[in-house]
Amino acid sequence: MLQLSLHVSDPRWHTFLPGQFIELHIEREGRYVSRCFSIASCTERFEKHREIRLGIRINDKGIVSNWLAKHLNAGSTLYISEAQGAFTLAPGEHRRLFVAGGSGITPILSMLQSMPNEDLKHSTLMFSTPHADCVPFEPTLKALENRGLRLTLHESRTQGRISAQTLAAELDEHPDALYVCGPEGLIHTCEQSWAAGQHPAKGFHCERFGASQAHSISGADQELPHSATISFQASGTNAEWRRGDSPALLEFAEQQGLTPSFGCRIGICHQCTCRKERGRVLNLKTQTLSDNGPEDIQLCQSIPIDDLVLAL
Amino acid sequence: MNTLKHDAIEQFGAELEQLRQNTLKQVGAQDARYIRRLIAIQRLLDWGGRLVMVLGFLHPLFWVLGVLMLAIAKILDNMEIGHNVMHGQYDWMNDPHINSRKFEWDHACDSDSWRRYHNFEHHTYTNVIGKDRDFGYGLLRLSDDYAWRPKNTWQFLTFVKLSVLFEWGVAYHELAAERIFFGKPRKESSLPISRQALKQAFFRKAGRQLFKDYIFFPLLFWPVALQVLLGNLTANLLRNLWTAMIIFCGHFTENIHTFREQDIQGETRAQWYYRQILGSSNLQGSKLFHILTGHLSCQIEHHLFPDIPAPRYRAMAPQVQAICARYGIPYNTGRFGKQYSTVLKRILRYSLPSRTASTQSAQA
Repeated sequence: MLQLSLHVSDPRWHTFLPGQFIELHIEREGRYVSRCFSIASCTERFEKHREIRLGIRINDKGIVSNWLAKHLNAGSTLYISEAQGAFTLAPGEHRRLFVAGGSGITPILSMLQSMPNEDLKHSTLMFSTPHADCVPFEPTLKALENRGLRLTLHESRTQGRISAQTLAAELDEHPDALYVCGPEGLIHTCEQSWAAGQHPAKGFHCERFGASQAHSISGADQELPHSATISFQASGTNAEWRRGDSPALLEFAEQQGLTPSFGCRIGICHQCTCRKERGRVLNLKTQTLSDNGPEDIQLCQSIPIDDLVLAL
Repeated sequence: MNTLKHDAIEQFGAELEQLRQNTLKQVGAQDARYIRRLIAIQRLLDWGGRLVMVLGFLHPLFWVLGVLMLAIAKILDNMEIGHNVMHGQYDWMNDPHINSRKFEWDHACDSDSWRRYHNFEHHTYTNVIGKDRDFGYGLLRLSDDYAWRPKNTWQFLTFVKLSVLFEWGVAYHELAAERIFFGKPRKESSLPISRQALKQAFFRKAGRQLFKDYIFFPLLFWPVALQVLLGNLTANLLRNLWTAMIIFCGHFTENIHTFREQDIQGETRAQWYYRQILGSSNLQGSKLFHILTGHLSCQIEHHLFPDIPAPRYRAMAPQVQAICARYGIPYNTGRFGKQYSTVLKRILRYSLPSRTASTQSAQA
């Protein structure tokens, strides 16, 4: 895990809510690439020192994480966005259960550190991490335990993923709220367990981007998916793209009743260029795989690899 | 049009496809640095030129120097930066300021209009009679595909006028095609905006350009207003002449081919490549010459790969030429003087009716 401390020099950058994330922009081989990273530090540190901390998992295939690990030195300058995201602490909850998988610990750390001791004493953190003898953020977690947090470590290398049974033991304690951040599978398990029990529906909070990011960086599925959900942001519609049945994204958008601009429809004129906010696409003409973050794509030549968010 | 066997054409297309992939692999930091540096140089020349021009009251040479700087700035902005950025050649950089959809140039033509008819119509239907209005711009008769009309007799004068006012010809191009001000509206129009919106965009952009060069800057340097106004006029004229000369060499040289609509039905990508090569011609010259033409000197490579960063065309050109030679496909290239003189000849030749009009058009 790469831990970054950023001193935020731009005075226009106000503050953040614990649990929120920022987009980090880098220039790699001539192109701007951005990724979302949760802030792992507390608001107090920011107010005192204008400092925020990030925890970034380094993956062999991670375009951004590898670049950061290789090119950053003390004193390097990075560009970040405003803090954003709705995965934040809700008021009026007393007993909170936090579930973190891998680098999903980061937004939860920020929440826990920003909580008063009184609230921490009623909080439990289940943290799933590969090696119990090499726990990321160990000193911070120790300090939180000393302030009253109940911490249970789950070594995923030996114990596998957090299962519904493991979770049930904790849910029997009747928490008011469940906060989960981690891989998609973990979120799914938590969501189902929460819905199955007698729990307040509003009490379930999850952060999904961490999951889809981990999923795509692993690069396990270079081949086309069977289906993908395409979200059209401006028009507010979603549609299911199916391999074999569905055409490239331009025609697909038109099938959904949208009217994107277009020209040649054979990848020459760039009239159908559209902002893609999230997810990877394959360009059929150049046979290249796009990045996961925001960038422009040629709709008429692109088919989805992941679930997509398009600015259309 | 296909004199090559089907298999040969497909193989030829695959070789070009391979060249595209090899080049794309190299595109990166170097190209980003190049375009950013060029934009910086262009800005320096633009502002520098406008200031140096003002010093003309000290010595006329300052005025001449300033005008030249501004003209070169406009040429770089229009050709090597604007034209290429708007083709999406630098979209991969993900830089919001060097983006094909948002770029606006120092040119009378509204960039949206340009993207529609240049990027789409001209680049998709290159030299297809009736589809690509850039073949003669609706003003000149450049092949026997068009019937001769009396007005063609003095088309050389029309050509000179067009070269002088080239920027305005380009700006008015789409409006002429849609017959916005004159004539009956086009029967089949793919115009995605209303005719009203097209008209408004034209006046907005034209107004902004006229205001900038002929009102704002002259007033800004009031005591020498006339000198600045004339300087801007001259810089625009020089840019117009240069761009017209280069662009006419791209598709109107001696051995250029034209195509009929039925030629392109069911066209494969390889056949499309083949047509682009037959319909385009290159200019040879130094690196600086290539940059000042916005690499339209590599018109063939530009038409094959319109969205690859243009400076890459220089290295691609000999490879494309070698591939063409292997398949016996004509590759039209030459020095500027030679190519331009064939353009002038073509304009003159087709001023007069052809005796064998019907047989010649079939040859293409």
